[in-house]
Amino acid sequence: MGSSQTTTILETLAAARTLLFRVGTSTYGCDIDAVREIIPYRRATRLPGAPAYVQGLVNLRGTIVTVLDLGIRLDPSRDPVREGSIILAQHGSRNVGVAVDEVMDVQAITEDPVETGALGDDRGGLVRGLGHLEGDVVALIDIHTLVTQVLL
Amino acid sequence: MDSAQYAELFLTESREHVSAINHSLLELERGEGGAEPVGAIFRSVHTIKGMSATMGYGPVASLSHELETLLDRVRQGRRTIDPPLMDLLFRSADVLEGAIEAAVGGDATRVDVEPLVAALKADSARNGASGPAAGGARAGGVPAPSAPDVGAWTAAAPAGAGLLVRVRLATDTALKGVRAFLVVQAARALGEVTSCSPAVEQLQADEFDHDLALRLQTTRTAEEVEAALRTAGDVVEVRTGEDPVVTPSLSDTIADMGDTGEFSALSGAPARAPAGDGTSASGAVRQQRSVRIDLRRLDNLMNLIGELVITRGRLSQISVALNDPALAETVAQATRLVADLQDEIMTSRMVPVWQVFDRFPRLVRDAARSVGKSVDLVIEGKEVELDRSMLDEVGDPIVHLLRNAVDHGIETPDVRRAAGKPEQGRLTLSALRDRSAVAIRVSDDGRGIDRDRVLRRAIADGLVESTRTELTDEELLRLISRAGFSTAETITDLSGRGVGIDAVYNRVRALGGSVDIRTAPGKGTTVTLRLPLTLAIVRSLLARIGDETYAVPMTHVSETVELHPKILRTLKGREMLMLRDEVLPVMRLRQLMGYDGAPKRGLEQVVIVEMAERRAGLVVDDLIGQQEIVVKQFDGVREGLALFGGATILGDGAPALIIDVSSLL
Repeated sequence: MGSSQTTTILETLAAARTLLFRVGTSTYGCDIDAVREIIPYRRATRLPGAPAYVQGLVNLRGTIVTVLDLGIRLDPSRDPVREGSIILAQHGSRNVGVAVDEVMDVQAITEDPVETGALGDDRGGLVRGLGHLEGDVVALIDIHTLVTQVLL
Repeated sequence: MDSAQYAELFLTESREHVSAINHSLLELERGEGGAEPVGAIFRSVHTIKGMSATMGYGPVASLSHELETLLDRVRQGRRTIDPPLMDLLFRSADVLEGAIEAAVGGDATRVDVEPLVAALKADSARNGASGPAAGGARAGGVPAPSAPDVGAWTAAAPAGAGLLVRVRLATDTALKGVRAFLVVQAARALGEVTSCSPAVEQLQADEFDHDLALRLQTTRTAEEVEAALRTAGDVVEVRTGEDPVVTPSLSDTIADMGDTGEFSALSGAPARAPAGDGTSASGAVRQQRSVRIDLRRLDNLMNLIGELVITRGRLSQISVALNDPALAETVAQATRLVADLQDEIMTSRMVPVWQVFDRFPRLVRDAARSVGKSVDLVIEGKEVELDRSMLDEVGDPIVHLLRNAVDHGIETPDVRRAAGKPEQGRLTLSALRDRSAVAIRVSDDGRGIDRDRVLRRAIADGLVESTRTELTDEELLRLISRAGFSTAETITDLSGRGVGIDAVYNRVRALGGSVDIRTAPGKGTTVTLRLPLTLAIVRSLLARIGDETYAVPMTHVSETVELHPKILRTLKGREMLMLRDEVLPVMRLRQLMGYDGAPKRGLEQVVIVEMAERRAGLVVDDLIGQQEIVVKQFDGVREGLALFGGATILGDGAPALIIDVSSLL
């Protein structure tokens, strides 16, 4: 299974900090400490009435986890993620799944903080900083902000 | 067991004792039960003192020590029972409870016991100096001093051979260590002292509590021993022979820790007065065939059985598909076993409601006092059992209702007198088992909810049409359960501002229960909470909408019918369902849940749901069948429909949402 493979990657690179993943054509990163597990993408049970960036609910060994679509959260005009992986992140006692197109790597990345509210509106603080990777700019996502902004 | 487990055990037992103390205090205040309440309080305080000293909880120990000293005076009739004393004792119970929680929480300094310790000391000194209050104790409703041997020996019985001798020194003994040493010396003159508790070194260092125990191998008679030991001076009591057998409790076993290093799993709970008998250390051996189990263990068991129920569902599906008789029979057998196991585990989680209700009399007393009212709380159905976690969840809503009743329902004594009612208000809290639910009812004989005022307020807020002149009970409930809706003229610290029945309503609904309210002007208000026995497993009807499955708890389903065009009517632009003589509103879940398009084929199905007196028809694409489902909570999203009371996991492993009927209606 893909999950055991990725778990090994996580263990090997536990020393590094940032999990890199791709949504559409953009690369993002998040703090590896917030990530509990990575599972293959699976279809979620729809949560009626929820905004488009909520994919729904999945069953993770008996625990029900809400899965979000990070791409749509950042840019409502994007297409939803339909394959790839779900990054399971933990914030306090709450779990959240983030659907992404591809989990790439774990690397130590230096970050430049961005001004809070760079995205404007209610998504302020979601991008915590910018990192540089082989000439690419990586938006670093603050999982904790994501959880507190979206979940009840 | 490590020290954390000891601490937990200490906390559990101490809470029970504090609860018992409060209970006895209320009894004492009402002048009921003669000497028993004081004795019971004394024993509880004494036990807490012993336990806390062993655990090294200094503030708790010193507070209970002073409290015990004062209680001892009360018991001996040297301190009259009067309102200041009652206040002091009630305050002591509160501070003691706080100090216990703080000590176990590792932050003993959070509760400062010193002011109270000083107050207790001052009281003991003030009232003790004048000697016995002549007859005052009896006048105050407290009888003659109890027998001197009421279980207040603190020294553990030492192990070893020989006659067990217990000696108590006067509490005002100066140089008690020296006295104790003299007692031991006197004993040694009669034979061999094989062991001593506390040890002689401790005795000499004053590290004991006015009594000691020793084992003496002697040929003298008990009377001779007693006479000899009394010569040491300041000896108020000598007892020879083995201790009466009492049910072991933490206090006893903790004293024996040095020997065994283990607690007994048995627990002697403190006197719990429902039967009115109190604990008497009469030597009767109470056989308790029970063990304490960590609640988390029970929760784990519940989760596991939940998983097993899901797996069973999947197994049944596979078995049906394979159509093998031998497999089918085995699956049927496994199904029965799982059901039995589930029953057993659910039963093991059931606890009597008094475990939470017991703190309410004190709460109501304080609440009533603070607003200058007099309220008698009657509790019925204490033994009714409810799932432990359900009971924990429902505690706050009940507190809310009780406070509401004291605050807004029951009138002040002069108003009641003018209305021809007894000055003391009557508040009844009852629990009643009813099929697969428990009804908890809070009933007062107060002024009732002022319908006119609610109506005026509702009209002013634009919640009902201004032409309305009357409200039904149903509408009344719906109005007052709106967040922030309050008609209270004065805002008190009890009920707060606009936080009332809406908090109760939401909480109970979240637990899968319902709320019902009945009120009559001048006669009072009754609020009934109807709760499922357990949070975890509910029988549900599974329905299909689009390509997803939804569960509707069977408690709210009255029947299902096919949606034939001829039973549909449109009245005032709304779809209505003609069911026999009834006209019911129709809710099309497909639209409500935002599914596109129409169902694929055949007739849609209608699930008739009901809640209190409201009924409606839920239109779904298709019905799948009934099934036991395990309710699981999930983290909802901020924006979204508040229509779901959790989710469950289906046989194929996919989550399915559980429709909360009460929020639909």
